[in-house]
Amino acid sequence: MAQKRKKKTAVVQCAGGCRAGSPAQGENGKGSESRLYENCADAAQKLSQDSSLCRWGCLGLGSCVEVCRLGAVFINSGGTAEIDRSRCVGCGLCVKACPRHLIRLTEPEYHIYPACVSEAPGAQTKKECAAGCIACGICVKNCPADAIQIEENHAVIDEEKCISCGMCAVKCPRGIIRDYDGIFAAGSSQRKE
Amino acid sequence: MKEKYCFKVNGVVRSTEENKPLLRYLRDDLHLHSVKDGCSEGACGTCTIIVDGKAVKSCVLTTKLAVGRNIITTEGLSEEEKEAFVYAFGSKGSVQCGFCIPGMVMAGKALIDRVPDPTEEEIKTALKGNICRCTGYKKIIEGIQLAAAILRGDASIEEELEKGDEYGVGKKAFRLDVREKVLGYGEYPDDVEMEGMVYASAVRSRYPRARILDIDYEKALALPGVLAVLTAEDVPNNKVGHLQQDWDVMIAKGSITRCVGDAICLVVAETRNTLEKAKKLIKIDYEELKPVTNIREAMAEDAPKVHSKGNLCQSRHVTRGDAKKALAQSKYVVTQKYTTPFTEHAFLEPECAVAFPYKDGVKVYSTDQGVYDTRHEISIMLGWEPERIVVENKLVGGGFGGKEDVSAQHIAALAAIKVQRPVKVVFSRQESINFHPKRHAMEGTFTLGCDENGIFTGMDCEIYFDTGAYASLCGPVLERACTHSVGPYCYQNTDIRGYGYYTNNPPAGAFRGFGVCQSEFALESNINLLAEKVGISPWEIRYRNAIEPGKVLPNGQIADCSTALKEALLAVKDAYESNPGRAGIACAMKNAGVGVGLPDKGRAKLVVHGGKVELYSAASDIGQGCATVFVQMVAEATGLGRAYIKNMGSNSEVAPDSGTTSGSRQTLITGEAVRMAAAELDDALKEAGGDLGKLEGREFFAEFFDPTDKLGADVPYPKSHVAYGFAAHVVILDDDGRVKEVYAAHDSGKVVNPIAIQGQIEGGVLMGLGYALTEDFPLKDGVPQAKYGTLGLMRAPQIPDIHAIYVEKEKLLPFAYGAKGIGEIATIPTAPAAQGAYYAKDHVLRTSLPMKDTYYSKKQKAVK
Repeated sequence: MAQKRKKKTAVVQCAGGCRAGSPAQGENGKGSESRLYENCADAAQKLSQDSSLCRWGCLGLGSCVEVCRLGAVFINSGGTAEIDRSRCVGCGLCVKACPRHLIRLTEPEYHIYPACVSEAPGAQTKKECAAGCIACGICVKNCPADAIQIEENHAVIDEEKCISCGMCAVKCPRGIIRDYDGIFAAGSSQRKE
Repeated sequence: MKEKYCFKVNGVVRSTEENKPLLRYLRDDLHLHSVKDGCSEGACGTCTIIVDGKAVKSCVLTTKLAVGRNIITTEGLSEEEKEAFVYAFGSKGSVQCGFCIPGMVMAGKALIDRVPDPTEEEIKTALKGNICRCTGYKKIIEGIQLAAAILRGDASIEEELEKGDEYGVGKKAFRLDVREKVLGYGEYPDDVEMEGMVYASAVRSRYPRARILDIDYEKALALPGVLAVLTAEDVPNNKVGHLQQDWDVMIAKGSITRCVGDAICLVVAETRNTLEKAKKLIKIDYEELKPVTNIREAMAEDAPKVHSKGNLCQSRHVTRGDAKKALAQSKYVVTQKYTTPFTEHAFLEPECAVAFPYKDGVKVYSTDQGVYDTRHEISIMLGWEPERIVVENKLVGGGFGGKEDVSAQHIAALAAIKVQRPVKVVFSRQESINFHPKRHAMEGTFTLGCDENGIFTGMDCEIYFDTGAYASLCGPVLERACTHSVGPYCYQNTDIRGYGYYTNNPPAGAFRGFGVCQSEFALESNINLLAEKVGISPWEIRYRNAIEPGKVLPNGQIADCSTALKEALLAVKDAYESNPGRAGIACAMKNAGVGVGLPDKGRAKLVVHGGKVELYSAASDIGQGCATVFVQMVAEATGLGRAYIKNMGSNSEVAPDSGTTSGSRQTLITGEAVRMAAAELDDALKEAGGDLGKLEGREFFAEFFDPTDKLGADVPYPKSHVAYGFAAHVVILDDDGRVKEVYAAHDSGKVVNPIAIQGQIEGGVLMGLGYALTEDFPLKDGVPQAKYGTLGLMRAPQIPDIHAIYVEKEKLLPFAYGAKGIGEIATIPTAPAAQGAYYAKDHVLRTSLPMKDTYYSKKQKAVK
């Protein structure tokens, strides 16, 4: 009984926003590159080092969408994978499918998560992405539990310490720390069909 | 046009143009006072509300982010839910100080709405963002389980319990304050709103030690809405202090600060916002000086003097027999150095007071541990007759010793007199952490000897306390550390030296355990080492030495008939012995009553008024439940039900002084005074044929005083204290080194309220575990580094199974129906028992707290 109720949910640690677009849309949204790659894994491998696309973010080619049996993963209008919480059962198939390890499972009590794992310096992220973590550290300062650290240029929450108060989500100037309950900050939306 | 933020609160659509924390909107604009302000940092959970079905901290959410949301506070619960939570929390004993309770109720409700039959684990998870410092969470978890069962229809409310026709000693008494605390309408000082009330707050020192060169407050004073800025010059007598008046109300220009909590000036303004703005406009010029940051520095020859008389604040020498000779002749001797940290009380309610002009003086609504103490300190500051100052306690949101000194009360009074209006002073959480006295940090060297059978022969120790910037209660706390460093055993040679030094750290003073947590940690650890040398178990060595009725304690006092340490040890024997290699054990004793020759008096007055008995006794209920205990004693003596007895609270204008809530004394000392007065009432009631109406207007007053001998009194068997409580704790670890279970057996005499005492024990044990494992108070050059959320307070998911056991003897003391008090002792043996458990597991002697290299101290890996 208890097991069933402790439903895990997948979260995508990328909010889109790469100014160069995504492989799905092609650079600058020209829609050309998508035909170059079969799927995310293929894109991750072939994407050249000097591509202007974000090296850490969602590739948007939907490998996660394909493996999900419940239709809980979709590519949103920004070309980024998103989870429909009402359908997700936390099976973890999408987690395995993502070549960039952007999807992880989290428990309902840890509903606050940073939606960016970019390792690019803050200034660069600010220039290249409309959404990404710029490692400003405001979340670190405001966390009452000292649960957040900036690691490799992005905020990382230590779930052992996190009390899910939402302070970081409220204070984040980029709105990149998300609340999948959608109360303190934008969360994952329900799929619009 | 400005943007409007609209949302629904308790079913009513509300809107505001102001973007601010929702907590402030709910409290200040809608006057929904169940939403408590414990930290405004997102750490404590007292402001938890429900937003669209989720439990949310209202200090984190803003009015702007709340747009379109459906918000529920405790006030907005359905009648059915209200009754379920009141009954469940009352019957399970979930309520102590009550400040966390409305938040707990909301967190519980959010869970129950989602999961009607939550498991214990699910409840613990749901409460992970809500701190409770009193109960140890267990009783709150049980309360939520029962509330869920009632709401599902699987359990029902027994109305008789709250009604309390059977309310005598030993009865399962539903606390008097359950309803108001669960539903959140009970008033703490911060909930007081008065016509024309304004706000005051102190600007405090940026540096622990700095000379104040200049205070420029012209700009602040010019700000519209600022009523006054006060400095040391405006204080008639610039000194306060619980026992020693060494604490400057404000640091004068030209003087040197002693800690970062020091006030430099006091701003009074019409609103909170103006007050904050004004404080920022004040410019203070400092000459920063090197602070004295620890005991060694304070002792140095060339150390700067924190106070003009020097850095040694207090010292004690407690000796009996010939320790030196006894140790020299002992078969086994251990000497070990121990250190313990400062500890923050972390009571959920930050300091707050409301003062206003009253009659020919001033009245203060306070949250403290003794209204007469507060009155005394304010009268010293003002140079007034004490009677011109009236102090009344509102509900007290936890104290644990940290509210014995004045904090907000005296500056509120000062401001109220200046502006002749009601003034509220409320501390921010960080201000509270920086200001009020902590548990003393200790360094000490302890030597204990025994013979070949493990019978203790003598002990020698030297205890050094860091009392920080001010004395507070350094004298008595140091003294208890010394007198109780011997433990609850039977041996006669002791030599104990204690020293308390001033430093520029935050002050240290009273904290549950009152010095004994520190010294018994050391003693009990040494006992384990001796047991090893003798080749007997830690349980066995304690049992062999345990004090018994009629035997002589190391301080010379003959143990009274109620002494039940051996019974407590037997009660935990199985738990200890069935967990070899992972269990630790420790004992403790703690005085009930101030003792040591002081005039420690309990007073109570019963007045028959309007067909009821009104109980007047100024004895602060800081959450431990003494207000209920006193009513139970009246009920026991007279046979009256709860409905006929009204506790009129702690108010210096109408209630006689019954001393400080300190030294585990209220149940015994004030309880006996209440019992005496109630016995007189009962006699009169019998004469009147049991008709209370015939006694209308009659008063029954009683004072209880059982004299004790002062320290070092020249009598063969000095009686230091009226009574002692005894305890034995066993801490059991799991394979990972987590605390799995704690067995806590207590002799506290007659149990007055069986539900309340369990909560006291469980809460005390968890506080002791925090002290042992997780809590710390790091300082950097005298500046506290911790926030409320990083103090290391245990949260609900971390709690082990705590088994509260009480042993009652047939023969009891002739006071207060044989009750001895439980307040402090539950916190004392847990840390050494935990230390013993780790020693049993890995044979590493951990001599400092919080212990290093445990499951709890290891850095947890971040989740990526």
